[in-house]
Amino acid sequence: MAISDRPGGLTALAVLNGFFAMSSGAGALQRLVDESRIASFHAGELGERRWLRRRVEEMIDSGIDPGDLQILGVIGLVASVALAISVWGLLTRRKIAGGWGSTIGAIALVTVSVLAMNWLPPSILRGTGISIVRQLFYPLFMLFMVQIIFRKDLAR
Amino acid sequence: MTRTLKQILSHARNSMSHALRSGSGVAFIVLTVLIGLALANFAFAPIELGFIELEEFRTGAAKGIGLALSLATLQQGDPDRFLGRLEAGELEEMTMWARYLVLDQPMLLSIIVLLLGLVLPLLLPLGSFAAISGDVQHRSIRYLLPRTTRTALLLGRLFGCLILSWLLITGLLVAIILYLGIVLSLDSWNDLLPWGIRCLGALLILSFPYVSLGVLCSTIFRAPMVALLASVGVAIAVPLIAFSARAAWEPLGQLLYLLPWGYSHQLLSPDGQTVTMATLYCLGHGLVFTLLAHLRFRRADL
Repeated sequence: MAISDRPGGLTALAVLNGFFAMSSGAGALQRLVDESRIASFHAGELGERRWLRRRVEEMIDSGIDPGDLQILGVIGLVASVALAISVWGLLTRRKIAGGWGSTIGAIALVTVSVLAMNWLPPSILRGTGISIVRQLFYPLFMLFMVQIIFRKDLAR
Repeated sequence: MTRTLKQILSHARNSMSHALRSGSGVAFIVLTVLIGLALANFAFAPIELGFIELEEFRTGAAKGIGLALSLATLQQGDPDRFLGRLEAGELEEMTMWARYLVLDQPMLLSIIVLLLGLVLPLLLPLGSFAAISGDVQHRSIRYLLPRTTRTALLLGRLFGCLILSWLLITGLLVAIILYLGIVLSLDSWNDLLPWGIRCLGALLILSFPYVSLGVLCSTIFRAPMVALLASVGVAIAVPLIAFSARAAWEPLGQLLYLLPWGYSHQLLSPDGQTVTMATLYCLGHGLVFTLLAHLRFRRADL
């Protein structure tokens, strides 16, 4: 069996990117589903399930804009797809898929966090400021690693 | 002497740059920062999200810290009755200590540093478990040893792991103090800065024995994963065994002192002499682990 010359850090980043791709994708889908439920509620097409109506009413009462949810969902999906591509790119040491996939994913993750902090009401955000700092840490760390530490390793 | 020192510094620098490129180093950095910020979030959330009033939180925190200190200092008697004894004013020293941390000093910073003191012993081995065993497993150590001494290699790797851990802890605590000062503003900078510097000193001193323990396990076991399991396992097993054994026979609780678990909280004591003694114990523990690692590594068949 051939010994891989890929640095262990790239493998670790690929695993972490996979995890963040899944969590970002799940969050983005949730926002898109919420947006479509608000639209259904306004059209009078929401089902009779009581818990669902209560949740949608809570979101509407909090003054959330469905357009904002849609934008956050789309950017979250972009982050998720870019990070998923970067997993393959980092494992095969490809410059565009690994390096630029990670970079686009990181920028999209930062954008989602900052926009969510500005647009979403605290009752929906349900997080302290330090949790926003926590969300910003990984994308910035990943940018540093991919663009500085592993720059020469992603050469294909 | 100068040549050995240069070699130690060179190994330390290489160890740090290697840590940034290795899987264990990346996992160590990401996990330490994310878990540290999650602990901060856990401490801030009740107040910042308005779940509880500040004074109510302060009273609850004083009780909780008093109870934790009573357990950690191995107070005599049934641990289940500690809370009642604290409320009855029997454990006066613990009550005063908890009040010092919660009322006299910035409360949230004290809580976070106490929580970090519990979690860091489990995270720090992640940064040091592969210090020696990584090269031993891949046999690349054979190419290093003709150019350096085993002592310089061991001390250099230990120093590199220590500096990386110190940088991480400093960055984490600076972020938390800045957040406490700028965003929450519950305490003034005049209170936050001196206490923050003292807390930082306490965590940096506490990290020495645990990083040394990681390096010791790294010299004992040839497989890095076994070294990691051993160092984390020992850090978890010592308090578990000590408290279980104490239930059978109270003096066996002293097993807690096999690692700094038994006195690490004293680094935040209001009494200066107690802090000095705890610092010396930490440094002593670290030196013992380093000496054992040195003895083991010098005789190892590589």
